[in-house]
Amino acid sequence: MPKILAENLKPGMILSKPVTNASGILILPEETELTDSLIRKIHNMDIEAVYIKGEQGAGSSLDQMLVDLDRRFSNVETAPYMDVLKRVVKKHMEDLYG
Amino acid sequence: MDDIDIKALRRKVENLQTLPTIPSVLRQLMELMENPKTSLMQISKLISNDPVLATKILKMVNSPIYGFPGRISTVSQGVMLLGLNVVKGLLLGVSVFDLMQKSMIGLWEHSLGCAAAARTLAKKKGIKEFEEVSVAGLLHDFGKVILILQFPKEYETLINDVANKGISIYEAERDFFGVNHAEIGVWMTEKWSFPRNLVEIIGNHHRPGSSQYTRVETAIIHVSDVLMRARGLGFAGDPWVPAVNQTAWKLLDLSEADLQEVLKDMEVAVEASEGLFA
Ligand SMILES: [Fe+2]
Ligand SMILES: [Fe+2]
Repeated sequence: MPKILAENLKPGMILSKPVTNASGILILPEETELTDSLIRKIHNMDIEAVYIKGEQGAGSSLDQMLVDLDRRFSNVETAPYMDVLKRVVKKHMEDLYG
Repeated sequence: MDDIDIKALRRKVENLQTLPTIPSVLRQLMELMENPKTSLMQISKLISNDPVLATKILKMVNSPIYGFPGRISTVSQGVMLLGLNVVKGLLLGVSVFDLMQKSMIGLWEHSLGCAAAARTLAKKKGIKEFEEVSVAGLLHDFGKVILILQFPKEYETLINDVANKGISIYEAERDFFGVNHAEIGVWMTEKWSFPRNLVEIIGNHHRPGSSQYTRVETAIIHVSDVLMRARGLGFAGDPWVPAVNQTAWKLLDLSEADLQEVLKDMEVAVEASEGLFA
């Protein structure tokens, strides 16, 4: 799950982790869909970055990413150590976008 | 291409600064770097004449990729902390950023990702000059930028070809130009008086077993490159993951947990750096 800098937040993004202030007080719960005014609120609280679900926009679902991953590896599936690399990246994608 | 053609090609790419598409500050930087005696003062002066460049370089050194968050406020302070060679490499990387973005979309992200991954790997391997390894990551595919600038139409054709044929851009460059981007990277970094180690890492990043002085560093850049292609971050000329070099892989001896950590760190660093140039 990518951490996005506050300055790059856009309306429609969904929080994958709750946002808390410096003293740990909950400001926005997980699953909140960001709006312009919520983004302003985040900016005003001087929060540097927040966790966002998936990637912004369509066409980047985990399923699609895993299909792309298979295609990228199609020439080297049987080469030494490439199975390890692929497993690591797959797990990474699942952590990031799952 | 035969030997004579390669000499002509070399002369052509070494005269890169005469291309009309090269911005004047980059041209001046290239000329300064050609002289090995160029001092910190001259570099600082060039940067301070260009506030946009100065801002970019300061943002870069303060970013998580170079690890001095908010601590470096002047260019000369950066040189003191990072060393003249690292700053030279950063300057080159940063000042070709716009050119990279126009000529090969995604090469900047690929390079940035490699720089971040290389930094984490170098630290893991106990390399003291990990900033230099990171700069090697930033510049490893520099030869591609040069080829695209000199031969935009031909290179575009190559990129389309390799995607259809399933071959690597590295092989296609060799077939078409007689040299590949790694060799061109060597010509240019030698011309710009970069240290021997950096030249060797760039020159051997696709055949890490050939390095003599920088075996671990070259292996780090090689594995970072394969890792970024596996991750699908950015674009480096073809959509395929190359097979990892077995010697390099064994030399680094990384666990799956190590690799996970490298990817996670890289994600955070690249995310934070993407805002740098917005
Ligand atoms: Fe390369
Ligand atoms: Fe690369």
